[in-house]
Amino acid sequence: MMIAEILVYITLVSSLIIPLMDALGYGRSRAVVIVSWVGVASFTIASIILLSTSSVNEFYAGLVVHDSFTSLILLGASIAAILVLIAVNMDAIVWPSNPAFYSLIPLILFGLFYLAGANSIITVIASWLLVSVASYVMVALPGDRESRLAAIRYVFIGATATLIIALWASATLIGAGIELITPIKPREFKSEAFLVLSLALAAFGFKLGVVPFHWWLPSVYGRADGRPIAIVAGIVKLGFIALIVRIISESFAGSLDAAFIIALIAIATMTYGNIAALTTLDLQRLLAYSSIAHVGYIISALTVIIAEPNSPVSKLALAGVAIQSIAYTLAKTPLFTLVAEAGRELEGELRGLLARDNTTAISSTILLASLLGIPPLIGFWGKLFIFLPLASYSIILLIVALVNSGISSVYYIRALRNIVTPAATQQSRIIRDRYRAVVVISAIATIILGLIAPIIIRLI
Amino acid sequence: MRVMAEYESLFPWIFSWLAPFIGSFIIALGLLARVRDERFYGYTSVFSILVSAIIASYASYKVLSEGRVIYSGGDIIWIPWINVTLGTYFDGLSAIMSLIVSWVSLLIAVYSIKYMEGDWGYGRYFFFFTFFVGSMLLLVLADNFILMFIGWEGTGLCSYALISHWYTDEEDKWVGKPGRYALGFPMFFEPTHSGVRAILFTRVGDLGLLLGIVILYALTGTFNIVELVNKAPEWLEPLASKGILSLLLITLTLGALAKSAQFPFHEWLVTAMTGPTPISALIHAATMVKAGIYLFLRLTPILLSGALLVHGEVSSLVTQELYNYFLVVAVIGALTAFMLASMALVSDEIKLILAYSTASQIGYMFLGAASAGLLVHTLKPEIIAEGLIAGLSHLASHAVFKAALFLVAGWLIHVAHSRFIDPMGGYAKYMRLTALSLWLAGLSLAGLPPLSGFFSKELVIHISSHAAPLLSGLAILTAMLTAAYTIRLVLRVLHLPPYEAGVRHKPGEAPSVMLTPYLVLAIASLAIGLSWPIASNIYMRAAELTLALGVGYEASVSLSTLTLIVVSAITATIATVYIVYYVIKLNFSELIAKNRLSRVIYDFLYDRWLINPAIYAIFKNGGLRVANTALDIDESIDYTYHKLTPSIGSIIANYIRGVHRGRTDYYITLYIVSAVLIILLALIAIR
Repeated sequence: MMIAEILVYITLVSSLIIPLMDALGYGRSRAVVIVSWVGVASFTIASIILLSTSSVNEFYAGLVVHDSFTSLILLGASIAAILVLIAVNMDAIVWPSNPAFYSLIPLILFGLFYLAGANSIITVIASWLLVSVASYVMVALPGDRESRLAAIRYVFIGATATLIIALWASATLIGAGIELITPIKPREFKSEAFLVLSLALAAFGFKLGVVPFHWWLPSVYGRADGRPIAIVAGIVKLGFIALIVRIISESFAGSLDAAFIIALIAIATMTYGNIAALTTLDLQRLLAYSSIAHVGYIISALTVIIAEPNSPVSKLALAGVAIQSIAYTLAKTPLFTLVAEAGRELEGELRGLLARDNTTAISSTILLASLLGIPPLIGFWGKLFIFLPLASYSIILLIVALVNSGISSVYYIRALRNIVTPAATQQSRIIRDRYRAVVVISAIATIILGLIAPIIIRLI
Repeated sequence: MRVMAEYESLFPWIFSWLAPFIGSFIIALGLLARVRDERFYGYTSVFSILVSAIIASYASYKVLSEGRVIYSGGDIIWIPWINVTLGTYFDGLSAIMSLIVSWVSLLIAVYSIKYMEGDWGYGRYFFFFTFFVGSMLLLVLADNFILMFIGWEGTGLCSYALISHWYTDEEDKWVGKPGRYALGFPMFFEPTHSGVRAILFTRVGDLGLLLGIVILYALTGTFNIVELVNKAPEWLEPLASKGILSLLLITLTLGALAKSAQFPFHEWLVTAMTGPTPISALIHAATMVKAGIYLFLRLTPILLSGALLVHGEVSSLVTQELYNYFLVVAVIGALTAFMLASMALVSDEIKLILAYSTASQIGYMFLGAASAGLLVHTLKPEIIAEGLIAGLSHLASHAVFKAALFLVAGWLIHVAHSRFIDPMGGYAKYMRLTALSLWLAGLSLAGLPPLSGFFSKELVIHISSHAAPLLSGLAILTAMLTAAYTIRLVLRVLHLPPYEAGVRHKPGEAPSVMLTPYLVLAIASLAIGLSWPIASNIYMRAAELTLALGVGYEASVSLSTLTLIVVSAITATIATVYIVYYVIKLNFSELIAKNRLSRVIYDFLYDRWLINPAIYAIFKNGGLRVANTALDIDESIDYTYHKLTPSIGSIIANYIRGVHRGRTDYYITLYIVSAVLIILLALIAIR
């Protein structure tokens, strides 16, 4: 696994070279974009290598562990990074923060390698800090007022969450009574274990937008420039999904009480996200709230994973989480970049997009349909593999999830309708080829992956 | 008794019911070919019915004289998987019934040729008329329930079509006084409305009949009525031991009660008078309404002789269940007889009076036959025969005199240009033969000796006096009411001056083609009465040869105290009516106008005991209410989907999004509070 490790270091190096290039006067040249591409490409190759090995890969004496699930998550993150780079290309050169955008993308990916594979408290804290700080900064990069405000909110609440992480680490350690590098193990004392669970949910749930730790999310996802948000929502989130699945599933394997609490939180999260999104006519806000709802579906799968550990349904649920995460990234990343380019108003700039730019319109409707879970798109399989195992844990949870999926159709279909319905007055912006290409590539990938999803399952 | 079947060939017996069907088919072809000559339709109909009548007469002759049952086509399978045959079954009961149906139909068909002359629906009239006769004969002669049910529904269909014959609904074709309302419901009906009523009312009973047939099939594996006799103990025992025998039989009999216009289904018959008068005579007096009582007469011996075959502990259960069933039917019969007779007292429409009388007299028939069932514990086959003969003989007498009465009524309506009796009066001196017919048929209905109606009614009262003295008392009271309304009708139409001033019409005798049928029928009712020893002998023979019976009963009427009481009561009633109308000339209109109690009673009877408004209030308004409630529910669902849910969703969504206004301090506070709450909740939950 030396090669993968080296490739990950190349990603780090590419990230670090870019500020140096700026210092040397090459900050506004195409070279920074190319270096960023190199970092992203090497990370992509690393994740493919990791995925191609069937065994579990350990790094740093087991402090970081990558299995097929996390490898798939890393690959999904790399693809999202590629998509963002294609779309943005040289656009970020003009930002006041330049060339931070190009440097932070490989840096976030580098942090993600440790975050997704973190197998000890020390790696969790270290990678958490690295990825978090990078993503706070990322949100502010475009320099406009909304982005800066969003970044400030994100930083402040993120700092609070970091305190909670410290509490979580302490609580975990108090129980175990040993060092920072102690592997995370199932707890023996109930009350203490639940303190740990609550703190974990408060800290990691914060990053994902799990209700009731989601307060920041709509104001950040919904208001800042869509391009950095594509990174935060499409890449960073994946790392935290991998992390929370690992921590919760390993700490609370077999605990029905923990599963019950997670089920309640999942119900609250999906319902909150879907209902809040119901009537908004702002596509970026819609995507922000629907992100909350999707996290609700994803963590609902955790109930099965911990209630019936190592069972076939648990494996199916894990596959569901992976596929749903990829479906989510594959749709959210291009849609957030599209919003930045084409506008966010479903009754305004986006209305009647079909008549003006049918390629983008059809592609974006495919992505929305995938988020809704229409077969045979990848989003359908994600929901299917999450919902199917739910039946073995709780029919009520399954019904709530299905009803929620039904509720979500209201806003997805309305968005879809507005995109295809001709507008009375045209107030569109011209969508550049790069942005269009990203949406089209994602839509094609959504269809192809949807068609081969049953095969992907076997990889996990 | 066990019935052994020996099959005869299909022909010619099948033509006893098939001939009218062929006739109606030819008429239909004529209609399609737009044949304009009315004679084509009338003669085809008469001829095809004549064929039936001849075959039925020949069959009846063979049955009654040679004493053997004719069972043809019982081995010809029509529907293999449920083993339904094309059997025509002539036993004592069906022989007498087919005679009545075919010959009365023939006479009325002849009458119709003239009566319907020039009618715009002439061909259609004869099509349904002939089809009806075929269906009725099929119903009577079928050896299985499936064929019988086809005939049964065929008669219902024709009845509907003929009640609504004048479907343009002109006011002179209505029944009831235009503009009269009871409890807010109209008491006048157009032909189309009446047709729908008839089909709806009888449909309720038909469903019960169908259900009963299916249940019997499920229990016995056969639709064959003859086989049902042999298997009687097999299905009587399990049903009785489960306590559902009487319930099943009542369900099965619902069809019979509805078809024969017994309470609470009688309303359809009353308004069926919107049809042409020959139809009222044929379908709604002489034949179709007898289908119900015929089915009951068919079932009664099967049930009772079956009960005699049941032994052991179940025997008493079967007896009790049968007793309960027959009690229900007897009470309905007696109640219908009384109620409808009381309505006839005040009615001022000639056909309506006769319609009330029809339902009332059929009530007698049910009472007579059911009385045998009430005596089931005596375990005497002769009692069954007595009940059967009481029902059957009154059915026959009634068919003859009531057909005569309706045909006379048809002529009188034609003369007066009105269906009401107020413009009629003093006709006796203009139409002596018609007057004679009306008197003979009327006195037969009133039950005065020596007319046939007297003997048959006497048999009913006699058997019911043994079985249920209380119901017998009601029957005697009804006999008095019957005599009263009949004599009132006859006196007012024939001998008293018209109530309505300034009536200008020229009464005269009916054309011979119309006169002959009712005169023949009226004389027949006298002749049957005069030759009662012969007639009763035929009925006894018929009983002996009836399926599942096999014994006869001497149906002669002896001069008992009961007979004397009944005859005296009827005679006294006739005399009273004569004195009130002819001698005192009491003005009832004035009495009703001045005396409040009289008016209340009059209105109650005129509005048919308010049963029609009650049925409409319960079923029509109730149904509307159910429909409206369903609509409300549907609209609520619609509202919930299209208005309420989106509104609530919108309010909640806007409220939730309202929280995310960008205040970082709020977010931090909310985050910390949420984290603390979750931790506390988790801890509390665990403790």
